[in-house]
Amino acid sequence: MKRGGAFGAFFLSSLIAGLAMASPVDARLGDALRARLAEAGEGATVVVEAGDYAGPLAISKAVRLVGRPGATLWGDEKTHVVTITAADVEISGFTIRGSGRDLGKDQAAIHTTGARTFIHGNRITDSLHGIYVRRANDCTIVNNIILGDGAVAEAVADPLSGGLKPGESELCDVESPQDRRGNGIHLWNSAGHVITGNTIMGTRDGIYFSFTDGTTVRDNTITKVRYGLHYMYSDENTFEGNLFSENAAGSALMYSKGIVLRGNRFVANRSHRAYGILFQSVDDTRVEENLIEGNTLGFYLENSNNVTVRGNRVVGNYIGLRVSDSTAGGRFHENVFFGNIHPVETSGANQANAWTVDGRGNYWEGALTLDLNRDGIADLPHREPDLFGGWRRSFPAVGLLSASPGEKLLRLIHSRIALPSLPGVTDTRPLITTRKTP
Amino acid sequence: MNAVSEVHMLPSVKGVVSAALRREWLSHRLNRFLYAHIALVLVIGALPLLTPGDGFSRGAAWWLLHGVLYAVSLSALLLGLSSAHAEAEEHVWIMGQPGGIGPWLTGKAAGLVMLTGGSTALIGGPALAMGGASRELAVAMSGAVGVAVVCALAGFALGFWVRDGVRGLIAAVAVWFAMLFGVDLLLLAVAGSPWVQAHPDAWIAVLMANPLDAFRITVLFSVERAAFSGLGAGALTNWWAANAVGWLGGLCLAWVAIGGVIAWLGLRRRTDDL
Repeated sequence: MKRGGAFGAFFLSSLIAGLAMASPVDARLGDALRARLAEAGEGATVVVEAGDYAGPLAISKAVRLVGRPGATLWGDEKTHVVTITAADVEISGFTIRGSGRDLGKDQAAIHTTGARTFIHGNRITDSLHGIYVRRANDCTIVNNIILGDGAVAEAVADPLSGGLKPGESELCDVESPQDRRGNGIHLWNSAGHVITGNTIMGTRDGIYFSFTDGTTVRDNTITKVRYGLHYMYSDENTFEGNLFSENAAGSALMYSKGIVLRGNRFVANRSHRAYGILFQSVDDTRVEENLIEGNTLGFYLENSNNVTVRGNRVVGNYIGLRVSDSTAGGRFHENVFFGNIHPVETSGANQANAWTVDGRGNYWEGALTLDLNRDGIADLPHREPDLFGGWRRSFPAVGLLSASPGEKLLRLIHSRIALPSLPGVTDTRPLITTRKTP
Repeated sequence: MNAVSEVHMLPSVKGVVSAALRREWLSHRLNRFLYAHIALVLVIGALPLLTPGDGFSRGAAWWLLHGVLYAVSLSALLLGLSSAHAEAEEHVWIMGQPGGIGPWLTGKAAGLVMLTGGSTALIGGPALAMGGASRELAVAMSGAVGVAVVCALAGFALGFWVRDGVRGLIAAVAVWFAMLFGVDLLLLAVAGSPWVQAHPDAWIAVLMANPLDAFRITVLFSVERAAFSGLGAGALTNWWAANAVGWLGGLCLAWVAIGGVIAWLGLRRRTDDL
């Protein structure tokens, strides 16, 4: 009896959920909209009043599709909701939902292969990818809200309350519910986009770059995804004023050059082996004036050359900065290292990188700040030893001695005595204040 | 007087425990160490008020962690030592009483635990009064009480083994240094050993057994919520991270019991020497 009741309740709840998910639309509205699009001339504006319109829609000519408040496009859950194949298409003001879920077919709420597509002010839910740009240049994606399946139901797991699952957040190596979702904005083999003011939450990755160059990404908010920024083989792009927070693994940039990261916030990316920012084989790049706060590993540079890291605040991370021996030509100056359990991790003397540029080093919490001539620069060099060095990988348990009195005592001693065998960095002209000076 | 009436004249265990507890309370009212400990606890408790704005409640736990590690632990240790040394002159007489040393020591230790724990609990008072109540603060407060009680019992046990005041003080400071720095330095020194790297759980078990390290790790896990690189170090580390608060509580209870036994052995040894 009990089992029958439970089955009945399950069946009923499933039916209700199914009805709630199902499109409430009258197919005739969608047909009418498709007819209007077919009749519209090049450059025409098609205004869509509030209502539920059954998709999918295909736009193959340059039109402006403008949704009034309350206009919703419903996909058939088998393909893209809106497919754009023409240049100079504009779509704005819609709620768009119900794309197909086949990752192999890159199904999306809006899928464009048209150059100069202008996508703004839309709200996208219940879809695989939010906006997918494929071989289309100079698109503008502004002020959209893209909510993945995890936006409501699943926050990033807390190591305490959720239990620890080492390896879950490794780079793409373990399938998780996030891996079966699509990305907020997916850019492939294209260039020259402007992406500003979007909010992305609960998707697999926030913004995915692959073979995409010359793009500006500004003032977006990306939270509770796997990688806020998942980025490969993409050059000469600029990221300014974005917020990447509470993501499972932070932001990963790989195999690229000529990037500018300026004034962004990489905050509270805290899961096991999460990064605020990860650079893997990233060259000739500027990282300036960013806030990197409260991450498991704030900023990790691996095999990256000629990277300028200036004026960033690296604050309250477990490890502030990890610089591999394969990283060379880096210029680290005018950064603030404060409140990190380990400011810098390195496996060698790190002499291939400069920690003082143009007579200015970095601010190090706890450094000896003797400044007799009051020029804002300490008169003594600062050595930031890394007592654990390579042991973190061969014997990761050593991390449990982080911030212990014994470790602090040894760091104090080693910061004054430069032992050649001890990994660490030397800043010959450390700053004595966190305040910016002209 | 027959044997039966002689048995009835012996004080009950409960009576001896209760009397010793009351005597401990009276003794501490006259003991400057308790007042110094309370003053120190209140000063450290007020330190979180130096953290402005949104970071106040989170910062409070950090302040308390460092205050307990570097000051309260030593203060509690000296409080326990002074408690053990308090009746040094009456020791022979007390040991000769028919109630036995077990009940007397139990009562005295219980009084010390209550006084140390109660006074150390004041450490969270200022932050609570300023509206900084949080789970992190509760963890830090509870841990502070546990660590202080363990340190007090360590000083207490030490006091019965080292009866001379000056030697006792030197030994207490040495024990504190060993707890605070020694275990960490030892573990760091052996971290490169192939055997240790092949058996990380043995290394971690030593870290877990040190109440100061256990408290530090618990606060770091609870306040920072960061997955340490050490979390990939095996099942024991993962279990500890997931059960840090429970482990700290159990560890403190275990060390209190061990401290009591060591104190009893030290006291008995004194009796045997007489």
